[in-house]
Amino acid sequence: MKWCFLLWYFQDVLQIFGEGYFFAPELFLGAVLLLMSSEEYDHPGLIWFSFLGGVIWDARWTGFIGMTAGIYAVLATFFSSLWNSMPDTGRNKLLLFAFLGGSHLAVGIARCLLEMSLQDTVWVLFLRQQIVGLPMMYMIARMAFPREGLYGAP
Amino acid sequence: MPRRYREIENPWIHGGLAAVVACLLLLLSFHLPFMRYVVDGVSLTLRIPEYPALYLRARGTTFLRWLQSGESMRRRVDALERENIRLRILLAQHSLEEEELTTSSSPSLVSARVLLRHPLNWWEEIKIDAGASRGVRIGAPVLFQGHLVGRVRQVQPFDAWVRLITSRSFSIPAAVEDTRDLGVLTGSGEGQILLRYVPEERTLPVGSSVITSLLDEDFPPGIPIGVLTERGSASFGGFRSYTIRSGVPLTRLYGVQVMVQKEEAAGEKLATGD
Repeated sequence: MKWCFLLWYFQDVLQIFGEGYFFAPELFLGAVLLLMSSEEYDHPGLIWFSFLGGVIWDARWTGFIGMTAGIYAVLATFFSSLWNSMPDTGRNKLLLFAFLGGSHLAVGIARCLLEMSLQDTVWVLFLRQQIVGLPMMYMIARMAFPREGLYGAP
Repeated sequence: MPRRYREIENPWIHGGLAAVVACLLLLLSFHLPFMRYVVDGVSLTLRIPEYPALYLRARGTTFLRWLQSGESMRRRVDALERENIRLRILLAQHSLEEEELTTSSSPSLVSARVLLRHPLNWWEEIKIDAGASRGVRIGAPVLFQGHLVGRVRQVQPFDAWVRLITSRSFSIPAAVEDTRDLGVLTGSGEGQILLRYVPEERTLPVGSSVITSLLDEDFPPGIPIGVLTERGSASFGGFRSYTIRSGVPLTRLYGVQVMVQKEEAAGEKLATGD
């Protein structure tokens, strides 16, 4: 769980440094999904944890309290459902990375639509977020399956 | 395991509930003013763990600007803008024999970035990243490229809320520079700036500059606001309104300058070590 706190803070720091240049990558959501994939934590608790992280993020950065929180919680729910419905052989690095990448893209688009009124070069910020964030999402997927290949085989 | 307990473990129930709570919070954030205090409280609390990053960013930004070739030019433009404002103030002071305003209390400018501009309050207010710690006080004029864009309405230690001149709640006396006619400057709440209560018999020339007048204690006289663009067709009680076009694009406020007293700005420099 400490990874979630650390990555939320790291995401916050990246947002401070990158404000006006790129949106911070969604590291906190990545950490929550990583914990969900480990099966050591109960998924409902993690859904609410992602919601709380989103609320604080909204209060700090977007001003739309509930927006990021809702997106995080819904994505975490989808992931939980998908992960639980998968057989063990299907739970591999590729699936986790695909979901992390898709979630990252979805949250990025939401931020883009929100910030459109504040900045005219918002798509550039979005593209930079994806370029910076997707390798980080891959690193998170690797952390979940350090010894496995992309499809699960070692 | 009992069936009811298994249902509570169902992530869809929790996810759906979280989504509903998120929607409720979103609705509340639009309509309840206390949500602003939540936002301010979280910003203030996070200021402590964020301090190293904020400090490094401020230093890094200063360093990068120093490296940029246009730095000296920008400084010169800033200095000229400040000098221009000071000269206008001194000119107005001189013409009206206001000798009690000494040079030591002449204002200085503090630069700030726009943090929030809520789409539902687009023409009402913005949040900036300069607060009481940098000398910002309630009522202080807020400028963009040397033109008045609002006044500070609420101050936190590290940020402040600014009421824009397009807000219905904004109201200050203003003067037409060419004719010295006075009126009340206010906003329509929908992006327009109006000069109200101009006597009907007075016909003000369209294109005349509008500036702040001496009648408001918070605003130094002579700050440019915009130009008169249109005379209102309707008249009420013998008075007429004029539409003003701001001298700056109010839809592109990314950074502003807050006017503070010189001693407060000097205190800020000492605090930041600049």
